[in-house]
Amino acid sequence: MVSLVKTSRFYEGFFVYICNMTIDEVYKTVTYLVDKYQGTYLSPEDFNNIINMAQTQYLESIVDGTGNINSNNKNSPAGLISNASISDRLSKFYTEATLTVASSLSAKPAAMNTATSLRTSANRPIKKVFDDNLANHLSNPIDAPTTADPIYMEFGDNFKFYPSTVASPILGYIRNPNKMLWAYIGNLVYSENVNIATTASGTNWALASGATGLSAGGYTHTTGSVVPLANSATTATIGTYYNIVVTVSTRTVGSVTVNFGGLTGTTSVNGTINITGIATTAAAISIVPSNTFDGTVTVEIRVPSTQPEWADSDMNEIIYRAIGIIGINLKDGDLLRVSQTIKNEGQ
Amino acid sequence: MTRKVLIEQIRRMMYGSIPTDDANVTEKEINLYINEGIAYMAKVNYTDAIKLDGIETVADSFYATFKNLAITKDNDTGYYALDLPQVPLGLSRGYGISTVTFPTSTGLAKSPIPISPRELDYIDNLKQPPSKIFYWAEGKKLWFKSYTNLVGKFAIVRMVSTETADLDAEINVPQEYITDIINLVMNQLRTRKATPQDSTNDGLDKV
Repeated sequence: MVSLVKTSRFYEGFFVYICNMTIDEVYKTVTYLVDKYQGTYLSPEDFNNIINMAQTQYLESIVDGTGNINSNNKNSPAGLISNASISDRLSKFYTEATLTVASSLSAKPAAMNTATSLRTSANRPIKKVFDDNLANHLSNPIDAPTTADPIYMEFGDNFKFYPSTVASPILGYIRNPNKMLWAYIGNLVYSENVNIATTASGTNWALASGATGLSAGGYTHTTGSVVPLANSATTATIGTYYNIVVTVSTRTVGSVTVNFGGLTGTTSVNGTINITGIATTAAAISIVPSNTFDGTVTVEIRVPSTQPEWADSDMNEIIYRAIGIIGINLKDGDLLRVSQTIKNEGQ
Repeated sequence: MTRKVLIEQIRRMMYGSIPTDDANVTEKEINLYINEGIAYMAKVNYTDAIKLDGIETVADSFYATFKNLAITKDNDTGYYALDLPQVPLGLSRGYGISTVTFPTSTGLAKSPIPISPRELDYIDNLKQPPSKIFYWAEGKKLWFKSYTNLVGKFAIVRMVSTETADLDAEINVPQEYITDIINLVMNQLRTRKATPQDSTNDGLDKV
């Protein structure tokens, strides 16, 4: 008779797909622990730095130095994933790309963390070699590299193939997880100010006295033109939530309208307005004055938080490492209890 | 069974599963061991026949026919020669290389006669040399003593064949010898795998 025993791994699968921990929950967990065990405050900037440092450490711990997935990781300090199927967890980050080879070289993908495999377009493995045995490979009387059975070595930011005639090799690699970013607005005060146009231009627009950019001091408009202040390089990503903070000062007359990604807002008074919402177009930043507008405008385009891509059990490992960096050492059970409490009760 | 299939069978035994990209026992290397294994099995087949039946023979399936082997003349000796696909096995005369013929279009209808290199001086000194073509093997070369100009002619050689780089080629070995070949190759590879590798790039030969 066979009986099915549902282990913690069985239930864990549901959490992976149903209720991944959000960056806000991670932030609350870490700040709670810092408050409880150190009695101090962890700034959002410090949190963002530390959590990403911990994420990098964790990824390194489950992908060994040769690029193989370390499926027998018994050194996990939290002891949460001993002998677990690490490759399943990393599968989310596994990516394939067909490379273009020119003069033996092909650039590594920018998001690549570790190359796991390379094969030819005919599905023959491309073996990785190192510089101290490259010469013997190239002059080998038995199996010197051929177009059908090439070899490669990592060469700076490139892969270098032998022979140089290898066409369209297929790379399998583990990409870097997205950098997590806690950047809440609204009830929460913190908002990361990134993706801002540093400069812009338009008729009758000039940098304000002492200003250095659109978000640093802003631009002043003199009457007589309705040409917008614009920076075509600062475009929106459709579907992304933005918080645009517009501040008008020294205005005596006129109005100004700010457009970005299909979001728009107009003000005709001194002060700050927030334009929030999801971008529906990629339209670049454009600040349109009325003909009589005579004020100074500063604009910050704040991007939203970036959520973790990991399952809960992995996030527990990452949090464990993060608080370790801060200097807090917890037992596994304590961490699990805290994270579950915050997850369930939103504390 | 092709060589590629046998090689894959051996690699799976070697690595305990389908080999990964990191496997450093390559197909071409195993193919070399298979060449040697086939040669050894041909020798075993030859000696077994003598022991069991009292006659010299090598199973037919070890043989292969090679055509279009170009013949050139060596001006120093006056003999003709061609390059064999491989060095013949060390079996008795007539077994390593069983027959050498020429295409019927050459008009050289009769088969050349095999001799030993040690018999060559005797034949050279015959008072009335026979109007025959003689041949003998030296390493990978097959030499001819002929009174007919063979330059531009192409020979057909039937010999025990153990070597090929074509991994899609069928293995010309009786099926009952395959297991022995696998065992031979595995014994060689076990020694190779058991030898420690110098995996550090420090200028020191640590093996």
